[in-house]
Amino acid sequence: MTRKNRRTATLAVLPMYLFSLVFIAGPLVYMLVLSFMTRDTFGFTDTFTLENYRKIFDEVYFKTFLESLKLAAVSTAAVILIGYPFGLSAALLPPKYAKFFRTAQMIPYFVNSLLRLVGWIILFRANGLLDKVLMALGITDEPLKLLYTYPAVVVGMIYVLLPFMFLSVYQVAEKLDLTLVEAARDLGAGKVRAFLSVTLPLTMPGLKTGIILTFIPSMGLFFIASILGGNKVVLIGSLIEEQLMRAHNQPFAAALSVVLMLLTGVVCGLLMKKRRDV
Amino acid sequence: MDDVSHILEIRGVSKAFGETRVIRDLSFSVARGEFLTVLGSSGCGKTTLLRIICGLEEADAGSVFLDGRDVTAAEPNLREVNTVFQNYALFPHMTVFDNVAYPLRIAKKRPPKEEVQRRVADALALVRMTGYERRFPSALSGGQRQRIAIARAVIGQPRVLLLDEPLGALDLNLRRQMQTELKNLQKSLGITFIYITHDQEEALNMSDRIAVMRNGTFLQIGTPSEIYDSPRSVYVARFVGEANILPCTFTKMLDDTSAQVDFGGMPLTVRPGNHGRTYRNGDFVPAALRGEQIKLSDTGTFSGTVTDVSFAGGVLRLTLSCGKTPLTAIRYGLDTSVHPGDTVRFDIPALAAVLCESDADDAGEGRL
Repeated sequence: MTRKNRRTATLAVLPMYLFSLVFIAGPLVYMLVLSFMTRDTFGFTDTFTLENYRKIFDEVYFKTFLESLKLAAVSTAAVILIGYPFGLSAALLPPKYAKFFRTAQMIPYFVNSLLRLVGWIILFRANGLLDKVLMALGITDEPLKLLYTYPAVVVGMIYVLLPFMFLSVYQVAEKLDLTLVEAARDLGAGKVRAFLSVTLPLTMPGLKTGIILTFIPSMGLFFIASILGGNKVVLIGSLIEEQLMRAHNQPFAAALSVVLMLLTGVVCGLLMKKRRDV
Repeated sequence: MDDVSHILEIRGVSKAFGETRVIRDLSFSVARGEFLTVLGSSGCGKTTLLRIICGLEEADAGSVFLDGRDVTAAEPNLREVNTVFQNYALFPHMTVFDNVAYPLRIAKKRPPKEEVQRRVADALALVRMTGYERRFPSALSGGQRQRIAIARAVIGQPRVLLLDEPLGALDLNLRRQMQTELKNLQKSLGITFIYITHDQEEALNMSDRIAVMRNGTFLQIGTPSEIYDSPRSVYVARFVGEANILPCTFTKMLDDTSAQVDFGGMPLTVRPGNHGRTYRNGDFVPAALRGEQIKLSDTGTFSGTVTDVSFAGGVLRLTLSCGKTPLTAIRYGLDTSVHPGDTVRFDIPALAAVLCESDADDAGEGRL
């Protein structure tokens, strides 16, 4: 790039940087500062304290953290198990069919995600559609009462997050050179061996992107837990919301957010680091 | 299979993709340590044939025998056949060392680390790529990738090595150099090579035998000199080397190895070819004649008008029109005495031309 081009490019991205600085970096700094302040009756005062961070280790809150991590891990694992094979095989179909699958995968997302979750309520609630179908087919005798259970939340998470995994894997798999897999087979690798030594490593970037795009939001998607889990599944996202909106403990909500961000940051960092050697 | 001198035997193999018959009832065998070239233009089915041999494609009918074992239904990883792919197919996420070591590392009986290291070093030395172990394929040139692909394909000591137009992507100089290297490599390894190309020069240079393939069958299989000197059909004559096709009328057989035909009103003694056809007096029959066999001479029997003179390196190509038949004569060295428009006389030595079959099924190229 010539110097002039570079200057033009810098000018072009400058507004974006300014926007990020004011509306993303600014609030983050504000939140970080806030997390060290003391709560009082009307909000908070600027007395420095570590109390907010210590409080996270109180059993109630700490358990919520673990619970969130667990749900995020379970959801991400489920999304990998469903999304990876699906994305990979869709990409390896003849182009005509591959496009169909990709589009079909996206169509539901034209509808607002909250509305779609309400759809799940209709399916899951006692004597809802699912129960009726299962009972009509004689598979179950009584309503499953799936709504407001842990599995219902996991299903909701998978439902919302699956496209991120699907599309990430699809995009990388689409560019996969199949002669490489054939070469592996020709050189003596069985089908499983060829997959593990060639297909998987070469689609790993897509899988990693998918994990990042799944794991991070799944730590914070509190509305799924609220809608499909009732109040039985309390997640870190719900906790922050509750502390901020109802308990009016802004410093504690800020501290929780900082820890959440650090946590997801560490996960991303680990995934990104390995990526660089490839 | 009782005949163990054949490392590979193909029996009655057919393959169709939808309505297109790509391989038609093909049978041939390859001797141990032989360098066989399958020569054909694109779409003749040569790559499909190769994929059937290595197991990446399944034949609709027929069988493949490898060293006496029927491998028709065997998975590609269970055949002792390795392939050098057209685009090399090096694993981009592995270093040169890991690429070459791959067949050893995934083998059922994985050799100890020291042996892997030694054999990779040997394989790289063989293709003169020592010192590149830690590079990634993306940091190699086309010729270097080619060598690594060969090293990777031979390290597991396959019984047959298949090469799918391996030199296609290289420039002319490198291609010539690699031809010699491949030939030497094949001699030193003693592995049977089945080499696929559309380049007749490559085929003539390297092969023990050439199979000329067209529309899913072999038109002719033989040593390079057999193919060059006695092409069985017009297509083969034109595809391998440059050939003039003389429209002749059969007169009579002189003995087993010579026949008399009429070309442009003059008698011409030709070889009848070894395709076992019998001709009757008056039959129309094409004869193939190599350009270098046309001898210009002031006392020549035939005459023609020079339409073009072109200088191609060490040779001079004269395009003549002899009656309605265009002929190309090759002369060595510089000759400035002939110009377009001149009428020249020339001789066709006895037995220089060979009778061949016209490819009746052709829609163009093979016609007279």
